[in-house]
Amino acid sequence: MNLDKYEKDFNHCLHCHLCYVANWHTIDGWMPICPSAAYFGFESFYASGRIEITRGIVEGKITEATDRLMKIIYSCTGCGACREQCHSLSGFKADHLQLFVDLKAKYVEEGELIAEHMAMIDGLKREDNVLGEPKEDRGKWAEGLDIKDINKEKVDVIFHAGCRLSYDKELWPIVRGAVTLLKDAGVDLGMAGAEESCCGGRVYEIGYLGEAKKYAEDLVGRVKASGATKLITSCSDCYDAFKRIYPALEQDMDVEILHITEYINRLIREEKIKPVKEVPMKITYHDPCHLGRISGVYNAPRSILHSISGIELLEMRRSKENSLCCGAGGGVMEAYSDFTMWTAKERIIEAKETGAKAIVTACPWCERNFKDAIKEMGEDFEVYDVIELLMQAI
Amino acid sequence: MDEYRGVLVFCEVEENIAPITLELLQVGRKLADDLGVELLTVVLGSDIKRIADELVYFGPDKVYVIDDPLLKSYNGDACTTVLERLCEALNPDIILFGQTSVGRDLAPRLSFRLKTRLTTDCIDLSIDQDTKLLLQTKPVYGGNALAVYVCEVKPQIVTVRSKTMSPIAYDENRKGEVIEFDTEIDELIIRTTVIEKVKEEATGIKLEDADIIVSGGRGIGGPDGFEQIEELSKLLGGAVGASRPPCDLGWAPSTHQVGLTGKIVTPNLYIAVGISGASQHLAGMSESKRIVAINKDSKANIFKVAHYGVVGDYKDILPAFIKKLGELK
Amino acid sequence: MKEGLNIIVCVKQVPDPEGPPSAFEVDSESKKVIPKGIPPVMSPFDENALEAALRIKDEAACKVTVLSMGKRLAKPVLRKSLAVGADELILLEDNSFEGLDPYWTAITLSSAIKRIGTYDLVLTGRQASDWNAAQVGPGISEILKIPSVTLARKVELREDGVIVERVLPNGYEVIKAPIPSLVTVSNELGDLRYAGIKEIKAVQNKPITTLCASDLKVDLSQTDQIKLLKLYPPVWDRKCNFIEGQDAQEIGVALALKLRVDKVV
Repeated sequence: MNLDKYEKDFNHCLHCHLCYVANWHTIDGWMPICPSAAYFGFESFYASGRIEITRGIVEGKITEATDRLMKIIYSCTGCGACREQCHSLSGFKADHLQLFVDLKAKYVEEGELIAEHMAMIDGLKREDNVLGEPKEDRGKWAEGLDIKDINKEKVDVIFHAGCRLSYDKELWPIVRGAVTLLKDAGVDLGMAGAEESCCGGRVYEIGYLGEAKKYAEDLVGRVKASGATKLITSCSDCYDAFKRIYPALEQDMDVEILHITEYINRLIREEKIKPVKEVPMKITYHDPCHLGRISGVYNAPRSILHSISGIELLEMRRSKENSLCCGAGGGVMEAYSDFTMWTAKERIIEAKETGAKAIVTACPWCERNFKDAIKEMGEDFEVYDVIELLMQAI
Repeated sequence: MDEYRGVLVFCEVEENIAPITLELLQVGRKLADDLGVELLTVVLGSDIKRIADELVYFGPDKVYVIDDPLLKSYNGDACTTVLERLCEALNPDIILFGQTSVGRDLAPRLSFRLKTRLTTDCIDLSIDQDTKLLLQTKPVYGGNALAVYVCEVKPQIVTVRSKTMSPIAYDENRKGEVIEFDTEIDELIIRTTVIEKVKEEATGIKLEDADIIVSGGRGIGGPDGFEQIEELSKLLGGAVGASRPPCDLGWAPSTHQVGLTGKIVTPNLYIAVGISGASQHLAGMSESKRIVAINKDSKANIFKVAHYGVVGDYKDILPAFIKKLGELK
Repeated sequence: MKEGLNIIVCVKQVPDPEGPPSAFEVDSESKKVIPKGIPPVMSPFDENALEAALRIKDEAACKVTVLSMGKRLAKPVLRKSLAVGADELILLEDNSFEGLDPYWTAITLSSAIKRIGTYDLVLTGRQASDWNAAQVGPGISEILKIPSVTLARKVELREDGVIVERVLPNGYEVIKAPIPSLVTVSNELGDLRYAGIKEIKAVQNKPITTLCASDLKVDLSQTDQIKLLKLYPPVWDRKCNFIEGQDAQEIGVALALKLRVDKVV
């Protein structure tokens, strides 16, 4: 990986350190927004420090891949908060997200690999999912729902469940609910079942760009062969992969890519889905990084929540652009689980401060992480997906 | 004056002269003519006079025969040793082997014995007009690159990928000399013994041997689609292939897989139906002599390697294609 | 099976051969393939060879030593061999090992094998996925003057020798070789067993031996007998001739006629 192309950016960074705090104009206060800055403290663990490290590598001052260096580079969750703050507050226009992925890719190419990531890649190569679960079990979440198989039948809309939702049984109601809503709304829907593969987004974020491209090529081939016009997913990571990472890998599909919340919101506006029942509940909404800050989808999930009568939506101090990552992204959950858990707990504490009784989100990775954090904290607090709440209203 | 002279082809015998040998003799003839030297061939075995006599009609100037009961079936130890002796006697400039199970075993060992170098799996060979050395082209990195080697020690030894060279034709008017190469084989040099040979049932024409291959990809849409592929291949007297997805999906047996992790083929005609052209697949078939691609996506990668392309649904195209081919037969 | 035997497996580090074509940037100037976005891995056939060794170890206690050489080796990648069950990892690292041809590679590896001293079986993959040379294994057997069997799909180590099933185009043959012998292993043998996170982490700090050219007493001053003249990406100058027509019927007929004219059917 050639990091020379970032040379200009090294000098543009003024080390103002605004990359690690939430925009104080909007939230009226000084709150960290980069999880690894908040957890580890040192500048090397947030954007300006990582940029400086990249400079050191390019200038040949950093040559040895020490364990500490690896930890600094791989503890970036890829949440995009630094980019958001930096772009809005300074004239710096570098793509921090891409820079930190390229930094990881450099070490991947050199074989300086993180043990946990090696195991994940091995599992992915064997079973086509990042959890190393059996490939043949992938479509099991949809058993009994009678969804068309895109390998055999033509459909208008492909539903991509993603790795987490395909194997995390506790989260199956989310996807089962989503496809039931779509079917009932008359959508001509299909899925790849056991043949669905990982989108490749997670492995892209840990620097295995080639592996990601292979999965992208495969998925694009499948989508093209299907003749579908839309690709829908309930996973924010998959969504971002399709929307942002695939073009970066020169993989384009001539289909409309929608997150489930965008599509359902559209169907509610078209009155094809009608939330009729009251769901009296005080909730707060957590913007998944890949859906919110990185993809700019803030309104669709909120709009669905507003369409359900009885729901009272309370915003956290850090929300939308200023949202704090759940801590699970970028391969951090796999490699540094303590840090991930700490971040999730921070977020739960913030959510509770709103007075809400539940945290609602739209990404299975956030959900799994929050559920685990709440369990460890021993809190009486619920986690829902937007779709789960909507199902209660139908 | 170079003490190394002549192009030596190692003849493989199955029941008769193996097809790869005719391909080696064809390219060997060209190289020998370019260098203005003799084309030699060597055949090893037991009771192989008939083969040796027949070889003459395929163009070599001299056929060396090493006939010994100990050479009845292939043994690496014995073959390496007798070839080493033959090479010491003849000092050939170039030695050609096939990239076959025998060639893969024998060529590396002979090259180490003779303290020379070897290039395996060549797909193109020519003579550099200035240096008179052999330019050896082979795919590397899974077909993602092509390398051209030149070896400055003699003899220059290569193995050649099957079907990358056209076979030489039989010509009864050709004349050549059959020479018995007398050499004693001491049984003690043979350290390995074959306990048994097990034939595994193969149905139809083997992919590697087929002149025509019709392959299906994910675009076929299901196992039923392969019936049409089968029909077409049968009509053409070819074999059925597949890219990786149909094999993974169970639409086609994994033995049909063409590609980097499957079979590497170079038929005269390769018809790719509903195959997008992932690199994995291209590595296995891009050296085919004629490639026809049928795919719905006009931007599919497969069209980059295809000679003829059809953009459309194979289900609509194939019936007319099959019907017309039937009429032409 | 006999206990207490020593097996040496030679493993090459290569850029992940399963990467997409864009991951292999061909630099014709330096005549190198530059991997992009893919990690180094153990060459797949060498993984098969390691699996062959581990299967022998499953049956009877023996020592499996993994040997790898290169200019700069990725330790996390090669440590995987320890994670799956190899006993020792020896790395041969030296600047002079860069770009060595198979001949000199076999000489260097043989020298390391002699330095190890006792061995009953040497295993290699049938070829490496990068330069695809397929000769280091047989080369080592010639240098060490031990018998070799290529293309194994099964390897059994017995009291009195090695029993190998060798892949043939239409089946296989069963070959018996004495101890010590060298066997090159093919993919038909089966994939390398899987190492979990626990196993991978457990070996991250296990000591490994590193040797350089001078430790091995190999003279690598004159190694350019075979030269790589050119390295280039495959160019397909096949301007695809698209068959057109009013309808599928017409196109199908036109295609058949084209192939007929070209005499390929």
